[in-house]
Amino acid sequence: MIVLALMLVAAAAIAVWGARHSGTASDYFAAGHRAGAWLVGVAGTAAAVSAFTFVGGPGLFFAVGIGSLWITFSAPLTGALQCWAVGEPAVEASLARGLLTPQELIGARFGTAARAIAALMIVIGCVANLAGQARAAAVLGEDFLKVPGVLAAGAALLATTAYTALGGMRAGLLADAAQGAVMAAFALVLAGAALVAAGGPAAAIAAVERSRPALLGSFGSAAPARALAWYLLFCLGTCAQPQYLQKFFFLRSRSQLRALPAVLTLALAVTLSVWLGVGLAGTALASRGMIGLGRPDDLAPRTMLLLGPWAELLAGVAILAALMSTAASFLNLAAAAVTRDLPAAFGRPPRGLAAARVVTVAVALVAAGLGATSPRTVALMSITGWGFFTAAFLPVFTVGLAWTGGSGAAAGAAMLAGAAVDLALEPLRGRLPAGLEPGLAGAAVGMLVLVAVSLLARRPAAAGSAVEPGGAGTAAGSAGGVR
Amino acid sequence: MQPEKSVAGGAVPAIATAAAAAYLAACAFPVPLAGAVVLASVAGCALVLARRPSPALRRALVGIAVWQTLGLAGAFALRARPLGGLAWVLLFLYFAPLPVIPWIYHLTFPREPRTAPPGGNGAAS
Repeated sequence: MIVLALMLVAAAAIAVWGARHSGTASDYFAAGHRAGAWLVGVAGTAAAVSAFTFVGGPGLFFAVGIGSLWITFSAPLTGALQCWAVGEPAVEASLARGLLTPQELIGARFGTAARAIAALMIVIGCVANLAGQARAAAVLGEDFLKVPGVLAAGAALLATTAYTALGGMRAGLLADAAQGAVMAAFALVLAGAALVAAGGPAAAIAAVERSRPALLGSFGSAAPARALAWYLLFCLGTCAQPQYLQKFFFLRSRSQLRALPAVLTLALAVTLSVWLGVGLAGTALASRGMIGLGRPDDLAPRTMLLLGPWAELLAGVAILAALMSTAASFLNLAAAAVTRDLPAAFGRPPRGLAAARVVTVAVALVAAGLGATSPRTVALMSITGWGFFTAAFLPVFTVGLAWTGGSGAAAGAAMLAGAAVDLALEPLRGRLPAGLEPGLAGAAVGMLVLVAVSLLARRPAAAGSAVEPGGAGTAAGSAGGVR
Repeated sequence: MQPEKSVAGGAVPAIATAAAAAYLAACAFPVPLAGAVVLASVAGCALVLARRPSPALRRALVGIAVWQTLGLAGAFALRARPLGGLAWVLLFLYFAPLPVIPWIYHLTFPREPRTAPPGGNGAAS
């Protein structure tokens, strides 16, 4: 309870500071383009890492062993990959054209129709994710902080909404960075403490080898194709998560990119230590009968219980930090989509900051309502997570930004096709081949659609341009981009 | 806003199509899927060549492709050995490249030209 009270006080202070320093749309949506690599790297990692890392990750280790770590094995590559594929063009466009959000980048490249489709995807994805976060906060509040779930969820969402609505990303960036630092530090402490409790890494590995050797090896008990698909999904998927890409628009100069992969990689690797540390140690402790589990997701809470109340408290705070930092980015992205991108699709000017603040609160209320009243809806909508954004946005943010031939119509079709494939395959997940991840399949189909529609549109464009110079066709997407 | 045209940029749709088709075709077969994983992830990194091609970047990407290929090949070779497989993937595929790949990015990131201050000697960095 004291933790929740402290969190609300800190959020109020950040909100007041943010409200005073957010006078323009650039401040509110892009932190004034003033951030350096350290702030953006730590905040970006905080926004991308969810509570799954602290609870679901160790639980997945208990279920499939080393196979689960293939999700984390993408960490060495993702920082550089992100900057090479998306970060550099995003920062250049942001600084040259004053772009504020990833959906505006899509608009600048592909035109207002593609921007509107991107905005719609972002609103759907953000509301669904926020509803899932609210529900997760309730469950985790009960497990770790020993407070009523509704209270934990309400406090986390209220605090996040307060500083995001009032201070936008000027406040959100600072809060995200602080939360990211807390998550990383606590993850390291908890991983170390769990391994010490298990007798050290060597003793933990030996215990698992004796009791469940199938969990070790290169892939544990996961199908190799599934492990590889997880690896690829989390490698490439980082190039398509709007809450991650949003942080590129906060950088004050292109030169800040030079150090960004190092910061991203360091922050991610330290935070992910909890997955390996608690997963391995908890599995060893369970194999010795020191903790009992009803289901794999009990591993982290039971391990923390064994370590003591201090560990439960640290885990609870870290998980709330993970939830809040992710939620702040989703709230801000949704507000930008509603107040800037969707009006632009109808040729209207962007709404002011007052409207953005109202939309931020409204989105939070809708998400909280969904999370509190409709578990079934949340379960269905929560599938629109990492895989959904990968399916919808990977083609346009990677190939779309690098290839001059991509058209606006093709970009819109690629986003819709990718999202549709992901949503269609997700309910069938149990019957799919082990290596077929719905998000990756959606992205692959979207990629093919982007290339095929762009190439097909070239012929009519060439024919049309002979009759009507400057008419529609391939150039439409790019010409729309510079409007 | 249009991406800059470059020789490497012309290969983007072909490589993207190949990577997407390879993933969809290989997703049920672990070893071919490993090839698709290397192709897709290195192709993602190689998008930078469409904007700022350089010999250093090409060498870096070849290095990443070799590291990934060896890492995945080793993982398959050691998959049945509990400790050997664990050590290989943790050390070779995860811990070893953690500092190296960001450092490669740092090295291959172009330095921005600096204008000489009035009266200065114009020495850059």
